[in-house]
Amino acid sequence: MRKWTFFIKERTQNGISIKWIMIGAVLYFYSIILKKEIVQVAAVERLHPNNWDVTLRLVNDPYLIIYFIIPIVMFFLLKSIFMDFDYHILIRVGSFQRWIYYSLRKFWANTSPLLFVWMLVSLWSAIGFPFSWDWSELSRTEHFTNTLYELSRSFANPFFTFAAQFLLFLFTFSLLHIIFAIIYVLTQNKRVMILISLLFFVFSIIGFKLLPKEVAFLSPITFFSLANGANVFHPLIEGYIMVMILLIFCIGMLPFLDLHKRRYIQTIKGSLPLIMYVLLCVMGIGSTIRSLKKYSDITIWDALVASFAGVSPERFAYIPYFFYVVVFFGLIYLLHLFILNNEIEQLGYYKIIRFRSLTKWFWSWMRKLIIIIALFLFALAVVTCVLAACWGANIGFYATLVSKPISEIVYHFFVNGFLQMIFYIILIFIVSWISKESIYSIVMISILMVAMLPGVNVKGIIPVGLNSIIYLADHSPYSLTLILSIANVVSFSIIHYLFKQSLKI
Amino acid sequence: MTTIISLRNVSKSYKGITLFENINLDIEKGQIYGIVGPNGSGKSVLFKMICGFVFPDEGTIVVDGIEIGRSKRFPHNIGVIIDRPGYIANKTGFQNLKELAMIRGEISDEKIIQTMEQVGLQPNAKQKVKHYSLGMKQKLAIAQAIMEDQQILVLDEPFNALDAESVDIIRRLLLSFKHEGRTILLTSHHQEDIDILCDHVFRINRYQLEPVVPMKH
Repeated sequence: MRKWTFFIKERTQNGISIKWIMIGAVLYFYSIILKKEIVQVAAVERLHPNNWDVTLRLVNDPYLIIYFIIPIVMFFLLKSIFMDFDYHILIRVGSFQRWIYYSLRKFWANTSPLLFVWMLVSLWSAIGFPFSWDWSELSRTEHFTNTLYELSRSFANPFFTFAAQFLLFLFTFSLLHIIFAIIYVLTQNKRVMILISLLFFVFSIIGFKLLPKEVAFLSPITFFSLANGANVFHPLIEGYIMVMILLIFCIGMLPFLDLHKRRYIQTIKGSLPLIMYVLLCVMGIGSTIRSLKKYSDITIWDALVASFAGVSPERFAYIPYFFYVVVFFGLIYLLHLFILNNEIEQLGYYKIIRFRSLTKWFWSWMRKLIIIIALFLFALAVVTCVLAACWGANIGFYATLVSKPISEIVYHFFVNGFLQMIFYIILIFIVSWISKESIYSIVMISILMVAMLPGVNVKGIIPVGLNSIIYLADHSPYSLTLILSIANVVSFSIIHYLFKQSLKI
Repeated sequence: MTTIISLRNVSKSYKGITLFENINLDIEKGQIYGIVGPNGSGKSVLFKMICGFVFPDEGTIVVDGIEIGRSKRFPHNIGVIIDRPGYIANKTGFQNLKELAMIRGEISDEKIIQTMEQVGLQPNAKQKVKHYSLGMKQKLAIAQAIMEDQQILVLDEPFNALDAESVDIIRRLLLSFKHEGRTILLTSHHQEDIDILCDHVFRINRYQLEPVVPMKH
């Protein structure tokens, strides 16, 4: 039997399976619901629909994609990975890199009938609607039920939209498969894979329902449904570029899977929290700058203000709060993880004898932390300004988002930022020193985070989050410096007292 | 004699348990090697390291002149039976072998049929693998390992679940491979298999490979 004959026979057997008929039936019944809605809206609004309203709505519907298509695709994806990860196959393909391509081919061979059935049902469902090659009146009208409005503005022809949607599926499903296959090669653990799939599914739901528009690009549905993508990316091609960049990155990673990478993994494992942290910071800054595009005459200093606005008891919003938590408490956590914790754990009599006093020991590593914090604040400012400049922000020496001179903004960001970070570190150190348990430091960070929520620190007794730039709207930066300086002096005094108590016999 | 597999200063721990410490081993071409040792002593891990499925913690493994993990991940001309072999349960034995053969596209359907007959399977049977007995599945695993005339065979417990007649067939098959110049590494819990087949035997003892004089000598 020739190779292609065998292949065609196999695929035909797969294609006429009962499961595709059942999936087709579900898609058909869902299309009936969509059709009813389209007809009702068209009648109320007195607008004419056409075949593309039904066809494109069915292949773009986020509910259908999240609750029906993604679970099916995840099932095929995991099945294909688990079945193909076999020693007989691995030894024949010769490397994990080639195995991932092999597995991707098998995945598409098994999944392509789904896309075919979906496409067929979406075209079939349009029967009975007026046929046209152009957008309908309905799809060109802005209405809360019309999910095709943005698409009709992005594409000249609905047929191109239809083709672009399937191209998006091709890229996104391939990317998903490659990422999952890489994870399986690295972990070789089926439970981990199932857990990640479940998390992906849950995140798809949360991302669709709860993520605000500014960070909607993180939601998986944005990369599955062109209609959702069109609401996030302007121009829409940005969505494709993001998927392509990730795809190229993953493909570039594949050769490393076959290297004897024990040492590399140890290094990467150790640095993983740091890499994640830097990525989150850059993504947050990028996303804030992107959201500023709606304003005209934005400067690089506005980007700094918006990125590190933070929150105050009077002015609270969740996104600036979360970003403050990630950037500043994230750094404190990392400093605790990599430096503070080690220093406290490794403190023994030999160290005390070597340094002759606890204060000298304290300053031996505190000096390092002071330099890190100063460099960190400098790096944050530079990255924000450079990114903003690249995005087209004005480099003039003024800010439009707050009515304060640049000198005060810069002073507040650097001086109060520095004092606030030092205070956090001292506080964490005091807790670690007293408790001798690193878990209490994490609890302390959590308490500080909670203290920033509205209604908790109303009287401002706890000096937390005072480096938020939003404070400049109601306070002078110099009064904030005074508060933070006092807080630091008090906390240093407590450390001095604790050291004296520790050496008493 | 040509060394076809070479392990140098190889150490390996698995899930916190030390299996090998600084072992050295040279496998000569055209010989049958037996690896014996109690359950959990590391026989399968040793085979997985030779095939490149896992890396040693320390040391190097060279197969057919190529260091595993440097320029190539899995050696080219090697047939394996390690752990529970994978099958597509709702396909016939022939279809399973055909799927595998299509990856490289080096052998014809006739060769697959011939291999199935060699190990004692019926190529034209419509029986799906999910309905195979354990012994038939084991024969299919052997067919998967040998059908492309692989020059190195790494066989972990190849005689598992086989009846006496089948054991005899497979033993003769392996000896014929040896005479063709192929190299075979195998493990077995039956001393008789080791005694009949192996030119060299190594016992895993205290994280080392200790040579044992085989009975046939």
